[in-house]
Amino acid sequence: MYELTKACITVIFIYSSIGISVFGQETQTRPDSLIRQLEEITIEAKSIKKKLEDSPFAVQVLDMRKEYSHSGDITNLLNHSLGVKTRADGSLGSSVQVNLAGLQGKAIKVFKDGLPIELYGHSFNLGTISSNMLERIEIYKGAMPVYLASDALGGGINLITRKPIKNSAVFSYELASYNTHRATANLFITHPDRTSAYTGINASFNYSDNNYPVHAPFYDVSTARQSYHTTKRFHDIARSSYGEWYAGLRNKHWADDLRLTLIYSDFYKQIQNDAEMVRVYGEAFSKENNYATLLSFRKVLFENRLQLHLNATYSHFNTRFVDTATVRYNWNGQVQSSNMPIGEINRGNDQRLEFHLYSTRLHAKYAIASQQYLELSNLQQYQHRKGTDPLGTISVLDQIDILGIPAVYRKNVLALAYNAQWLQKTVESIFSIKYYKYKTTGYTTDKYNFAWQSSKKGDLFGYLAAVKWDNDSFLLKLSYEFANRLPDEYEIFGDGVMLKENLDLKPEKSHNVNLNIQQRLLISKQQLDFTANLFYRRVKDIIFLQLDIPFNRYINYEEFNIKGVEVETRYSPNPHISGGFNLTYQDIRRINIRESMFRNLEGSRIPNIPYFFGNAFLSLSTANLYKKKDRAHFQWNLNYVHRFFLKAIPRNQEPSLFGPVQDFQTSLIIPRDGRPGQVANDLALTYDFSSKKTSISAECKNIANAKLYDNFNVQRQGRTFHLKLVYQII
Amino acid sequence: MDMKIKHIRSILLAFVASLVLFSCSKDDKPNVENNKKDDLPQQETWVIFNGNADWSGGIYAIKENKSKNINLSGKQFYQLGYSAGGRIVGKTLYKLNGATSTELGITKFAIDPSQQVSHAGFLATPTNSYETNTLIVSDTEGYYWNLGAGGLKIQTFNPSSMQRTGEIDFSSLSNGSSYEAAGQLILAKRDDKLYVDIQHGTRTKAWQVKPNDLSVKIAVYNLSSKTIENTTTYNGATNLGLFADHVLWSIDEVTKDLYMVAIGDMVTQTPTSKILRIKQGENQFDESFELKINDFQYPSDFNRLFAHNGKIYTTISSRPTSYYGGGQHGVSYRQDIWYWTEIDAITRKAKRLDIPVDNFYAYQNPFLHQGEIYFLSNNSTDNFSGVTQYNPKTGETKETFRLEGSGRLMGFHIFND
Repeated sequence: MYELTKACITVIFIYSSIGISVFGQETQTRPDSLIRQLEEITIEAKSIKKKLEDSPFAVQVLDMRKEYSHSGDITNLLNHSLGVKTRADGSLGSSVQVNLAGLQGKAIKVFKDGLPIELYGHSFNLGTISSNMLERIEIYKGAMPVYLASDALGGGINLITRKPIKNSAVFSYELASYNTHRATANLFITHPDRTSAYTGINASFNYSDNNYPVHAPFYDVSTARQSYHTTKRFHDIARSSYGEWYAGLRNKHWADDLRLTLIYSDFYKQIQNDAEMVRVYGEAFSKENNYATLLSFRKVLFENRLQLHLNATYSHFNTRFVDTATVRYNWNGQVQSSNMPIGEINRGNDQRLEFHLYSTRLHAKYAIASQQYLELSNLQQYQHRKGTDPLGTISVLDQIDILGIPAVYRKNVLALAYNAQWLQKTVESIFSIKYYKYKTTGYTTDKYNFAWQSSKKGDLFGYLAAVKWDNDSFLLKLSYEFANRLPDEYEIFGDGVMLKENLDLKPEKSHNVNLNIQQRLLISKQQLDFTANLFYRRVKDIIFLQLDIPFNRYINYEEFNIKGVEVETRYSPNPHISGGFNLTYQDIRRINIRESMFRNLEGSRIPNIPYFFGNAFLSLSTANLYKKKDRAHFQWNLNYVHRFFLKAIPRNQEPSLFGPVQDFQTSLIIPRDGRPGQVANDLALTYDFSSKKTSISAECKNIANAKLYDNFNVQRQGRTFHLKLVYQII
Repeated sequence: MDMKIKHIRSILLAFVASLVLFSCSKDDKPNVENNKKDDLPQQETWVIFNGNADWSGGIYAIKENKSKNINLSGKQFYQLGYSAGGRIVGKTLYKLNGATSTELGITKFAIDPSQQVSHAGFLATPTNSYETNTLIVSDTEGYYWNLGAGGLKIQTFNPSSMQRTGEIDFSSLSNGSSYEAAGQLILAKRDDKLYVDIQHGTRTKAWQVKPNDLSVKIAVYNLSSKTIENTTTYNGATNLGLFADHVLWSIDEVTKDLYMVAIGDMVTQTPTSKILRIKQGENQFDESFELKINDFQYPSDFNRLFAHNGKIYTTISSRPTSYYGGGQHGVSYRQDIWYWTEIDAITRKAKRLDIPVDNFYAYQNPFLHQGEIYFLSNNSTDNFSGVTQYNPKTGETKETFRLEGSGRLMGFHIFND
C-alpha cells in the first residue's frame, strides 16, 4: 500500500513539475512535447482531483469524465454526493438551489470556471447542465480558495468546463420520458502546424414537455368540494440552448493563454404551479436571451514564481415574464373561470428587463519561497438593470413604472492569502483575509412617500484559516472562516410594489468550522475509503422575507446554529466492483430569538430544509463482453431523504428521528402520507463499444415510481426512462 | 495492517467523541406553567390560535388546563401555515383557507373531548386570490364569495356537509366596470335579509380595489322573497373592509343596528375612514350617522369593529399612522399604538378602555360571551399576548389570560360544553 501511495504522490509530483498545476482551477497549457507526455498520463483529471481534495479546504471533486454516459443533468450527481442536497421547483428547467452543510439559497455560490454563474444567464444553471459539458465539479463546504473571491456564506460549487488539449469532437444525445431531449456538442481544434492557435465550441440543448403525472387537487364547480386525482402536467415546457465559441492563442512569449469566448443562450419556461402545488397556471411563462463575452489571459512570469490570470466579462440579458391571462385553469388544462382579473400568479405581469453585467477578476499567485505562496484575488462586478412592466411595477404611491428607474449594483471582493507547506509537505496551511465592498442604487420612498433614487453602500472584512495534515493514506483537515454574504439589490430595494425597500439591511454573517477526516486502506486489489466531515456554522443577521400587508420586505432577523456530520464509506474488492453509502445529518436550529414572545421556537429546527439524507450505491463493470476492449457498467443508486416539516415545530414537540408525529396534527410535512422519508432507486446500464468512440446507456430513475417531493411540496417525476448515446467523432 | 486498524479505531473514537460534544444541548429545561385556576370557567373550551413571525402557528383547544398564564409548549395543536381567520359557530370551528394560505376556501375543524383539533371538511374556492369571504349562520346555513364563480354572485353552502348548495345572483347590479363584486367584504345577515357590499371599480397590483367613485354601496337581499330589496349608497366613503379574513361589520344584538367600517384609500387615506350604520328594520344607510376617524386621530383608520347595546368597540391609534407610510423601516401600523376604545353611538363620546395596547397583528374583532366582551391584544412594549374581558355594565376589565412565550395571539374563541 505504501508503494502505491508513493507512486501516486510521485505521479502528482511529476504532474506538477511539468507544469500542469492547478491555477485558477483550469489546466494551463504547455508545449506539445509536454502535452504528449500528458496524454500518456491518463490520470490527469485524477491528479487535479487529488490535488484539490488534498488541499486544506473541505472540498469534494466529482470527476465528470466518468459520468459522460449517464443521463440527466448534474443535479442528480450532486444529490448522490456526500453532504449535498439540491432543491428544485420542478423538473427540467426549474430553478435549483443547493444545500451544503446546512446552508442553501443565496448562501451558496455557484461558479463556472471560477466566475459567478449569474454572468452566463439562466441557460447555464444547475437544472440544465449536462455532465457532458463539464470536466469536473468542485464542491466547497465552507471556506473556499481565494481565487473564488466571492461573498459566499457557506461554500460554493465550481463547475469546470471541458478543456481538451488535443483535437476532439464529441456529441451526445439523450432521449427520456416526457418528450425530454438533451444534446451536447464539444469541439476543439488546433492547427496541425500552428498548435498555438486553437478554437472550439461547447453547446447544449435541452427540451422537455415535463408532462409527468402528479397528484393534484380538483374542484367540483357544483359542490365546491375538492378531491385529489392523478393528472398530467400540461403547462411546463422547458427549453434552453447554450452555445459558446472560443478561440485562443497559447504558448506565446507574451501570454501562456489568451482566450476570447462568445456566448449565446436562450431559455423558455412555462410555469405550471405554485411551490405548494395548490394553484395551477395555464398561460404564464418566462423567457430570456443572453449574450456574453469573456476574455481570459494567463501568464507565468519571473521563472515560474508569479502566475497571473485575468478575466474580463460583459453580459447582456433580455428577460421577459408574462402573466396576462384573464382566465383560470384546472389541473386538466381546462378553463375553469373566465373574465377574471389579469394575472394567474400575482395580479398580472408583462415584464421586460434588460441587464448589463460587467466583471473583472484578477488572480495572482507568487512564490515567495519554496513551498510558500502569496495569493491575491480581486473580483469586481457591476450590474445595471432597467425595464418595464405596465402591469406589475407601477408604484402604488406615485404611479411610476419602477423598473424604468435604473437599478445599479456594484460589488468588489478583494482577497489576500498566504499558503505554505511544512514538514515535507505533510502539513499545509492557508491564512486569508477578504475585504467586501458594495454599493447599490435604486428606487425608494421616504416616510413622506416621496419617490427618489437612493443608494446604499457598505464594506466589511472576512477571514479564514485552514490547515491539513496528510500522512500517508490519512488526511485530516481543519478550517475556520468568518464569511459574509452581501445583500443584493433586490433585497435592499425590493420591487416597489409588493416588496418594500430596506436600506438598513446588513450582510449575513457566518462563522464556519469544518473538520474533515479521510482514510484510505489498500489491501491487494481491495480499497476501502472512509470520509467524515463535522461542521459547525453560527449564522447571524440572516436575511428573512417578512410577509406583510401591503408590503413584504427583507429584514435581518434570525440567527442559526448548524451542527452536522457527514460520513461516507466506499469499498471496492476489485477494480470491477465498488459500492458504499453516505449519510448526512444536519441540525439547523434557530437560536437567540430576540422577541421573547416567539421564544417558543427557540432551538426549533429550521423548516423546509431536509436534515437527514443519504445514498447507497453499487457499481459493477466487466470488459471484453462481446468484443475485445468493450466494457459494460451497471450502476445502482438509492437516494433517501428523511421527512421534514414545512413550518417550525417547537423543539420539545419534535418527533424523534424515526418516531411518529403524535404531539400535533399537521399536513405541512414532506412526505405527508406517513412515510418516514422518500426513497428513490435508480438503475443504469452502460455499454462502451470497443472502438472507445461510442457509448450507449439505458437508465431507469425512480424504478419503484415512488412519490417524490422537492422544494416545499413540489412533486417530482415518478419513474422515468432514459436512453443516451455518446459519440466521439475525433 | 494492525497499525491501520488501530489508527481507524482512534479516528472513530475521536469522531464519536465529537458527535457527543456536538449533540450537547443547553435548552432542555422543563416548562413551568402557572396552573393557578382562579375563577376560570371549567365548562368552557378555549380555542387559541397562536402565530409566529412568519404567520405560521397552530390551533390549540384548552379545557381542563386553563390558566391565567398559558404556556402552549407541549400542548396538542393543529399546525397552520397562516394562523388567523378562525370563527366559532355553535360548537364548530371554521377558518378561512386551509393549512396553507394558498389552499383557498373554508375549512371546518372538529374538536374532540380530548381537545384534539382535526380537519373535518373543506370547501374550495380555488380561483380566488386570497379574498374568500364567508358568513356562517348555523350548521345548515352558510354563504361565501368566490370570484371564480362570478364576482356578482354569492354562493350558498351547507356547513354540515361543507358543500355548495347554490348561488344568489346580483348580476343585475352590474354597470360594466372591469372589476365587480358582491359580498367580497361584507356578508351580514339580519332577520331574513342579507346585506352585501357591492364594488364597481378597477383592480391593480395594489391591495385595494379602486372604486369608480367615492361611494360605498350595500345591496339588501330578501332571503324569503329571493329579491334584491334595495341598493343603498353612501357618498364620501370607500372600501368597506380591509382584509378578507377580517370582517369589518357588526350587528348590535341589542339594538339590531348594523355597523360597518369604510376604510378609505389605504394610500391617500381619503376619504377618511368612517363607521357607517344601517338601522334596525332599515334598508338604507343612516345618513344622520357617521363616525369619522379624524375626530379621534388623523391620518389613521378604524380597523376593528364590534357593536353592543349602542356602544361601538374599536381601536384608535395613539399617533398618526398609515399603511404605506414608514419609509425604509417598513409598515408603521404594526406598532404598539392601537388602543381599545368604546364609543357611544349616540353621544359620540369615546372612552379608552383599560386594556393592553395592541399592535394589529391579530385582526379578530371583540366578541360577547356571557355578558362580557373579550378583546385580544398583542404588544411588544409589555411583551403581552392575551385577552382582556370587559363588563359593559360595570365598566370593569379583567385579564382573561396571557400567553407565556408562546407566540402572538392570533385568535381566541370560546364555546360551552
